[in-house]
Amino acid sequence: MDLEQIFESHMNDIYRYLFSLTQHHAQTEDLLQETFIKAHITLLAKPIHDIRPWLFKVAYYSYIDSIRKQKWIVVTNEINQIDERTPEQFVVEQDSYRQLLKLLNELKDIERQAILLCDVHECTYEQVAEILTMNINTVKSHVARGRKKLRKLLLREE
Amino acid sequence: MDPYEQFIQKAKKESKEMDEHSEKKTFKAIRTSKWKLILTTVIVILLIVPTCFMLTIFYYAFGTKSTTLMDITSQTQYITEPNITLEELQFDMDFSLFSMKLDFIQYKQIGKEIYPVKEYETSFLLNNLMDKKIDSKLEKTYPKYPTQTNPWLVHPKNQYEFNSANEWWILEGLPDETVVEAYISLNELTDVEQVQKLFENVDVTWATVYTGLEEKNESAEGIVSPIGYPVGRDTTNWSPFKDSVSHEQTFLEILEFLAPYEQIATDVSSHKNLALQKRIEYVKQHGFQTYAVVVTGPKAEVEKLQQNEIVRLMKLGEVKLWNWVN
Amino acid sequence: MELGKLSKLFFSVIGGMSVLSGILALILINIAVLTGINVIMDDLYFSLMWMTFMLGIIAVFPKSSRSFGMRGLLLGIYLFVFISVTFIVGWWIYPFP
Repeated sequence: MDLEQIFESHMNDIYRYLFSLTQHHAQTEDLLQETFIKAHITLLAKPIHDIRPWLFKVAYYSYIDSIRKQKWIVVTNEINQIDERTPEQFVVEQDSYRQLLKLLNELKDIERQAILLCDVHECTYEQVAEILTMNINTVKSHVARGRKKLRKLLLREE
Repeated sequence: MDPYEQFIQKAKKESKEMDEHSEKKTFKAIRTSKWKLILTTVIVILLIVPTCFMLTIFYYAFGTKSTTLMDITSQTQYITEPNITLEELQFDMDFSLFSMKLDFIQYKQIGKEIYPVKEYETSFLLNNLMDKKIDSKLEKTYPKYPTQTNPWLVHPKNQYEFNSANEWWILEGLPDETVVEAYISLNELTDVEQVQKLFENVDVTWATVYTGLEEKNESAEGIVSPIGYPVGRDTTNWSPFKDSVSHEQTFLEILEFLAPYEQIATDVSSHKNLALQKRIEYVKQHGFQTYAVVVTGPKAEVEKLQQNEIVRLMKLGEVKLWNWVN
Repeated sequence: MELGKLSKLFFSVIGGMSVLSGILALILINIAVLTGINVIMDDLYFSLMWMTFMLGIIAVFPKSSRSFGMRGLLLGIYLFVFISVTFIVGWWIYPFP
């Protein structure tokens, strides 16, 4: 299959994942581009069998890299930070999805990752372990802890 | 379904509604990523050559210096090629990827004038001589592949391959209005000043130095050829012998300078081996004695040298029309 | 077109031009080194170098064109280093006046 077709079939997933991480459309676009560039380069060199979790992994590392870079790029242009979102999108995102993202922010970073990948993006524990490069049992305990905290937060919200 | 799962399901559903809006952007992202990739690849490919070129320049500045290579080449010419001078402005240097080209012209004094005789084109790969092209304008060419007995400058105890009587005869047949270059081998070892006194009407341009190997022209490494130095005042800016008080001393200094680069020096010379270390030791212990010289002068004056008792053999070099004016 | 999009497009074009002129200068160097024809000392090289550098600086500030701007800026720096090295060290290894 053509590389572009592969990307097209997964891009919405990756976009949502990256958006959940950044909560910012412009940045998500940048990261999406970066993810595809990295994926392009790697896929030219060697074939990847299970492409979906692997793409998540690439996206995850692109995000991590961007956070590191942001620490030394101080020049940020406030004007460009403004989102170009249509009103209806705004409404949609005001709902459960927005709320989920807001709640996720209150978790530890690693728990947030585990929940996002495992529950929101329906990856298996093995895949999550592979994406985050950690032990499967550690993943399981992070997911469990994350769920517990989210449940508590949900109750409080209600 | 507990409230948590319900909540997640709802959020997921909602997030997918975002897709419609993001689709255009993601398509664009894929396209841009492809272009960026192509652009990066192009840039990386284009960076290879300039980077290698910079590395080359750094190598010739801080590794084996280009000027050192040029000095090795030029000074080797002075001590290995009989009656040869070089001129600075005729040196040409050019750098390309990991290599350097060095072109120069060799001159010969014939009579009182200096003639360009050979054009050299050498190329080095880093510090290895890769190619040497010689365009010679000489009429009499010195044997190209040296053996023990084919040099024109012969030690008193060594054998030779040319017919000296024939050479004298040819010289005799030349018109008086010519100047010649002649390779004269002596009957005994002597010093250069002595020779200059004996040959007062011609110019001694180059003198061999006996280094203990020339009876057989053989060293531990194999065949060696005569080495020596230019005689007479040299005023060209370029020459290592410019204004040198003692040409013998300068000759020894050159040998010592070349010793660490013996392989390069041997490659640029027409000799098979230079045996520098042995020769330096010998000359330091036994001093400078010559056994053969190159002279140039009017045909008649060179002819007179035959009567001189010290002269053993003569091989005729280049012949030019009269220019014997001071 | 709204103002934000227009300025975004403007900076992207600036960044693109920076990278493009950088690539052209690199092509020039490649030609010069590989063929031995000296085209580097030309004014063309210098104008391309400054264009790469200046446009790169302009494009590096807005977030939308930063990746182009960064590439352009780095290319500009590389081009400058290259010409300095070939001039200064090159002059040094070349023994004649």
